[in-house]
Amino acid sequence: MFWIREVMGWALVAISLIVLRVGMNFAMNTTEPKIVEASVVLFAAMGVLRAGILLIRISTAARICRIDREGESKG
Amino acid sequence: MSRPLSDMTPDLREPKNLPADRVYERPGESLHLGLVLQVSVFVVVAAMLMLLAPEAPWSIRLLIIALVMLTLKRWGGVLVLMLVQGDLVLREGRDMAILNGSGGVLFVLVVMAVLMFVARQRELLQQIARSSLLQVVREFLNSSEAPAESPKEFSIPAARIFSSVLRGITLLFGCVVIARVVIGMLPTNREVTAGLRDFIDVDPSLMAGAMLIVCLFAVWIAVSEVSWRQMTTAQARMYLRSAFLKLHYADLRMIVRKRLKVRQQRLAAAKAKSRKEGN
Repeated sequence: MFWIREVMGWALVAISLIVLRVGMNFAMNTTEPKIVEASVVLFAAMGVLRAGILLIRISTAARICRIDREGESKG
Repeated sequence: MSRPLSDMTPDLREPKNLPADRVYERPGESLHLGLVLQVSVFVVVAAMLMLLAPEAPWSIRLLIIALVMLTLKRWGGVLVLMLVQGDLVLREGRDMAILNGSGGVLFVLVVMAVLMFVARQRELLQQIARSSLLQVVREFLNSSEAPAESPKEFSIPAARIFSSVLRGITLLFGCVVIARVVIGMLPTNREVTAGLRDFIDVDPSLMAGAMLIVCLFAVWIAVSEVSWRQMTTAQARMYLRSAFLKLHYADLRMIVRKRLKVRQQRLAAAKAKSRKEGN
């Protein structure tokens, strides 16, 4: 079950990087730079990135605890 | 011979007849001074913000001013600085005539003075903002009628006040003069900006910087997650407890953090007191 969360977390991280790239394109457009739009998109990307990293970390920590508990019950 | 541990650690016990709220109470004289300072800062900040965004409707300007006032005690001058920067960016090339010449220098001086004051008097602003408005007004009226309880405790030598004010003014003028010199040295005309944009168009490798930053983020996340997997079981359990508390019991976390903060403040005050007594 924790693997699903981890995969979802990595998917969120990937989405956030794509959104980050889109935001950077907004800002670096030399003909018509969109600074305000870029800042909004970057803010959203940071939110998605945080959520993804939280999911990955929680699932990793939960799996470590589970492995330890299974080892204790077997021993 | 080493001192016993009880001598080295400050005594944090409060006398039983002293209520806990008494820690934050300030005598009338200090509150009086604080109120005058706070009102003057608020008036200056409000007047300054009125100069910003002249095209915006009054309702939005008043809303922004209220927002800045409410966040002044917690965030300090951060919001004021951000608003001034935003106003400068939006004004660029259009309404800069107001800020040219001596008017601009005066505006910069006022902004810097407000930011300096807010940054230096955070503690005083926070202490005044803790009490309600009615309580502050009552204390203000009482302090003007009755003499303060302990005037000796807050009597500051005039020479010290004068030197502090002089130091602040010198610092302020020094910063403004240096900023003017740096701005005078930097190229500010629009041709340079246009030239830079043309250069970026001619040399597309500079555009790859965006891709490089995204790749850097990706590598950084991957490396930090790989190192995250090296934690022990005890660390994993602690992280899970912490995340659970943060997500599901935010109120409990807030209470614990508040208590820890109060305890740290008391410890620092007791340490300072014991140091003073030792001297």
